[in-house]
Amino acid sequence: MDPRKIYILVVAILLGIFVVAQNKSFNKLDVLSRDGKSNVFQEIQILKEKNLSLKSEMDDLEANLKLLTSQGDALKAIDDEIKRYTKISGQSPIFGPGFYIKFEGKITTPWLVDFINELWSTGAQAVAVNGIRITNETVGFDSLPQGQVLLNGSILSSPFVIEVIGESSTILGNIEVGGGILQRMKAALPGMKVSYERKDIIQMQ
Amino acid sequence: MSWQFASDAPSDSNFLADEISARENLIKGFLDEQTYLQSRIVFLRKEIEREQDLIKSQGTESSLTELEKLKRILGLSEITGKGLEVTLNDSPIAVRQGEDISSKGLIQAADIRDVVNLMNAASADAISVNGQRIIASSPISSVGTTILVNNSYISPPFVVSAIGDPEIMIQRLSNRAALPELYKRVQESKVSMKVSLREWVRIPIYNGDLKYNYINLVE
Repeated sequence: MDPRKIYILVVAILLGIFVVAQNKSFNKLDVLSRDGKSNVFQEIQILKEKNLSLKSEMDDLEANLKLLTSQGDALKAIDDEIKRYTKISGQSPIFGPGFYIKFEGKITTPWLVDFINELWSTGAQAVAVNGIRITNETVGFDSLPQGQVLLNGSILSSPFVIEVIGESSTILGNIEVGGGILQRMKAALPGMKVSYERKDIIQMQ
Repeated sequence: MSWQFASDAPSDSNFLADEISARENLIKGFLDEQTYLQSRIVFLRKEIEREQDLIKSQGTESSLTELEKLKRILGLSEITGKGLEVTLNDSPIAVRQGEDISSKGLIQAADIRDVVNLMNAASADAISVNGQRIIASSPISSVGTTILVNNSYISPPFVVSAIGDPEIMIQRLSNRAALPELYKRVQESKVSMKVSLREWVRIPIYNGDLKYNYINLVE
């Protein structure tokens, strides 16, 4: 056989092996790499913060119960509770400090679900995607046959602007960390551009 | 003499065992405290509701009706109704403790998130995962091979319960394109998924905290 043909054959075989390996590594990026790899220190930190938040919620509820059981303060307690729940229910417009993050390019539904999950996990108190606030009444993310993202019955298109009310430093610090959600998204969605800006006031409907 | 030194000096494996034991005790302490706090929160919310019912009987109907509506929206009322259960389980040969998180035989937090999102997209009225009420801000994440819902530990099998129109929910779950990775692993018998229709599903009240200190109402 002509040595040139042998050379081409060997190169073709090597290329084939490379393509298969590449394909396998991209497949592995799907579900198995969507969650980050945490360590025991993070585990303890999460539990510690969770218990502090639960303790604070318990104190609020105890104070509320005390007000309800004292004759003159019962109505005030009810009004306070209505105001508190109105803030988080999505029934009224709200504002507060936070940031917005803009994704340009193609993003798939699972990554948007994961990103918003990460925002809640790191302390976001209110989140809106392209102006649609995520509340208990929002109809979840969906994918259309052409790959567009649907949220609450509206088709979303790039740029995806996610507004967040909450402690910006903590949330941004957590999502930007090495191996964090932004790094995982960038690895899985090549070509996607990300930018963000902190804001003193973010408004949501 | 040299034997004496060798037997007295603590070995590396002893240190490691002590460290693991200290870590497990610390985590157990936090989990015990979490269980207490969550049950106390549920108790207090029920007590508050009882007091409010008493006040209602004395005639402050309108604001209490508004409060009840808000509680329903926020997942602070128990709901029962027709729906379904999706049971996700690890491969029978996979061992979660000590297993690598990237094992295809383990159900991932992302699998649960996808199923929960699909139920939300199918307009479910209420959802829970292993008894944890899912609200908009419920994180579903993992630490190592442990899965956390509302930052509380849950173990397999993972049961996603949903109240809503069973036909719509079944239709969404049957669409393989909506859960491609999960279906692929189910087909390869790496993990299992079982969907059961239920005439009666009970979704408990949310037992976590509600953060709002950065939020202001536009007056």
